[in-house]
Amino acid sequence: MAEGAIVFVIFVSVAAAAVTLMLLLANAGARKPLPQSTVTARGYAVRRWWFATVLVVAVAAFAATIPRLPYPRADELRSSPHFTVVAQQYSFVLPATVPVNTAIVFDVTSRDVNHGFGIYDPAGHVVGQVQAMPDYVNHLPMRFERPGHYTVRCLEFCGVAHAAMQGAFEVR
Amino acid sequence: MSAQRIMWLYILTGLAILVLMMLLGITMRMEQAGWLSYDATAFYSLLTLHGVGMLTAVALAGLGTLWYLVSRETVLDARIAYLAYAFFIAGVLCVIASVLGHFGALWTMLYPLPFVEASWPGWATGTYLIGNLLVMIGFTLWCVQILAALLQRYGISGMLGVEYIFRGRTFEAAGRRPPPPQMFAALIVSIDGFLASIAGMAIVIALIVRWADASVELDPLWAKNLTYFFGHSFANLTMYMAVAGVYVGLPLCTKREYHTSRPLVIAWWGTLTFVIFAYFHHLYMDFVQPQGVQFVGEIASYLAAIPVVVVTVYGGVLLVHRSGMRWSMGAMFLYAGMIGWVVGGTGAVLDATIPFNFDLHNTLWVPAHFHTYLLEGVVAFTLGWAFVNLEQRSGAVSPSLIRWVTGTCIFGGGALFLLSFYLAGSSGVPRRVAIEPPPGPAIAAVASIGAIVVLIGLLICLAEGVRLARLPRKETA
Amino acid sequence: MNGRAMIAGVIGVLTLLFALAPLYRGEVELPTAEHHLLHAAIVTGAALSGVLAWNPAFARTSRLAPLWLLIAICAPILAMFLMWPSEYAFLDRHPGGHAIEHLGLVGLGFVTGYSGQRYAAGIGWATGAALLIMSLLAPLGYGVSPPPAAIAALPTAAPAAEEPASPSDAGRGAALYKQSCASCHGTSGEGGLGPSLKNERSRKDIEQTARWIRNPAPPMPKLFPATLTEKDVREVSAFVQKL
Repeated sequence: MAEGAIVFVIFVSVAAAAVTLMLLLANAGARKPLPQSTVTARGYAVRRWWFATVLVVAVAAFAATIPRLPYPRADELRSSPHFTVVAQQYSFVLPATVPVNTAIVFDVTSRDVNHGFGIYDPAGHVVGQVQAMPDYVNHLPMRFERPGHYTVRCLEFCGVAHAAMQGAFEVR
Repeated sequence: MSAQRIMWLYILTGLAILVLMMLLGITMRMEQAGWLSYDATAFYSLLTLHGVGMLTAVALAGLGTLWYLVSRETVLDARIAYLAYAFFIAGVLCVIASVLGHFGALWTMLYPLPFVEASWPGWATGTYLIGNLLVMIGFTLWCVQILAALLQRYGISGMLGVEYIFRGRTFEAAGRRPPPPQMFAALIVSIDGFLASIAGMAIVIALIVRWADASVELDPLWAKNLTYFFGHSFANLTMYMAVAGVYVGLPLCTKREYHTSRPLVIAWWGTLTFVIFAYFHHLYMDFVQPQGVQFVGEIASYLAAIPVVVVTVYGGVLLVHRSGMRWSMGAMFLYAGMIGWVVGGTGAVLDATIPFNFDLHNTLWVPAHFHTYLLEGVVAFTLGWAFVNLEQRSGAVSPSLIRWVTGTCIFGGGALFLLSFYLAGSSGVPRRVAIEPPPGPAIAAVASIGAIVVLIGLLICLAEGVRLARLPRKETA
Repeated sequence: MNGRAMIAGVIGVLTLLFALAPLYRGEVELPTAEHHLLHAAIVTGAALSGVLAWNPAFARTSRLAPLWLLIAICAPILAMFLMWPSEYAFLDRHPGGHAIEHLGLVGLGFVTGYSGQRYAAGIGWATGAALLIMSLLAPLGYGVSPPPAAIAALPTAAPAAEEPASPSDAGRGAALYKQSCASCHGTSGEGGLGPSLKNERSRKDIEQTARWIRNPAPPMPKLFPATLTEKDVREVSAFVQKL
């Protein structure tokens, strides 16, 4: 399943659970009302556990992201082959092909305004992106495991033809 | 009462702009669905106006609510509220003028965009920038006035609740109480708002100078950081403005009390800090940023959720639970707004997760989460607060049919509208494109229907509000 | 005269002496970032002096409170405008004008601190801090930009050698068109965001086409000479003429 689909499923599950839980808890007058002191006493007791759970989930999620960051490491920059990408209104200067199953680095910049170098795999899913800025070079490490025709779309608003700004390259 | 008049002026102006901006938004979704056709220049101009207009609208409503609530505890000069309002309106008029001049660089405008190959005349750029500066001056006037009032009433450590937390026993033994919860909302909005407007004014001034003098160079990364620090903070703060209505409104509906507690004060200290540092999450895909700040952005974004789900929303649920509360329009919107906040927060936290952001950044997932926050959070809270006021004043509630119809339209139609954004974004459809690649247009069709249903619900809701407002004031026995 | 007023006076005088440096330092050439930092010192000293100069014992006219607040907010804005980076080079060569600009900064800084305090006790510190922060942000990017992207000789749109030529396309012109023009003018020149180029030869001859490409009107981007070389322009013009 593509990562986008995974995120959507996580979102819908958590959101649905939250909506259901909060609607059930609202329970404003269904049964006999309770005095506020009773509700808050129970509520504050539960809240300790709730706070601990949320904190643990936050820290665990943060820790889980650290090995999965897209940022380049110095050794990657040194050892991988580099490919230049230049974005400009309204096209990309791209390599025609990049090697499959190889760690590579895209050196991405812009000739004029901010653009976004967005890579879509042959199935049309986003597999990575980086900003293309004037005066700066962003180094994007990638490794393509699937050969085929990859589309590039501009993912940062850059002017009137932003929606048409596309390119492509082959992975083989 | 003068403070009430100011509150309603701000809220009603905000709601009026909201409805107009919603109409613009619906036409854009319909254009993306292929039901309407207009050119890209017009699309981006409308999108620019929609962004600035919506944020100004919800801010006006929130600032008006907070002003009124702060005026109940401190001394506030009404003239400054009117002066700030004048600056806001002047700014909005400038932005409208620039959009009529086909300005279309969008609300978070990234330098060097409007100065390179722009398809609009130079005067439109300058007018837009000046309009932004005027709005920022209005906002700064508001922030500093509130800050000064809180300082005068509670003193610096009093307004922060420092003594209450660190020397609680002596504090309470002396019979002193900390400021009520809505004062903390006002405090965080005015401090973080002031900081945001400092950054915002710095970049807008630099852009105006660049507009007047093309030989001035700006650093695009510096410009991006300042732009997002202002934009992120301003947008986030609109929620914290609106939540004050929950703090005061829900106790009225449930006939229970909500006091400042130690967790509440600490939660707001958290919000004060996390809102500022979370802005780095807008620059995750700028790999030239120092990596340390990417971590700061991620952790701050996660931590920002904690005060919300552990204190404010939790406290709101406790207020309502088994309270025997009679559901009204006000109660429904305030409670549903908390649900909307949590749902939007889920989308936001997922986007703030860097490995996911790698795929989701600048797709429709981004408008998905903030439309959830704004429509089903901020706007819901604003409507809730407005209705609570009308219900308290007249002693009447709306017929349950009206409540069910508006609730279904705004939250059911809203769900259709918002899920469309999430689905499209997770499928890779980019944001800010006049023409979407598939499956964008098909999804946009569903979104348009959802949005039209929301608008219908909102209009019914506003009509019901007018009806309640015209009822005679309740006789207090 | 109490201690506070004396300190305000001392800081004010020191700031003024520092601000008048162009008069006794003469012509200098400072990098913009450093120049901004020196201005930050001037406005901060002046604002501090302004905050301390206000005496809590002064009678406060709340009638004018909105005006004091407005001034306290607008003064930092004006100070930022006064720090107009491109005029630094001019002012560096003209000490008299430079000193006058600095006096302006001193005045605005003082007003920021004093007006804030006149509005409400303690607010002068806030508006003074705003001015300090803005002036410290300036050296990071206001008139200061990094050198252009360090990719040696930004590649142009010239198509790569492996670009397969399809039978109906002819020459480099077709490949250049596909790379740089098709996104707006359509893959076969049918138009889209940009106008149709079909039968363009009836509207412009090859020289006029080339001239337009070299100097288009917005929203068409100017691709020459950064993206297209002179040779590229001639080849793509020849291709467009055949559409």
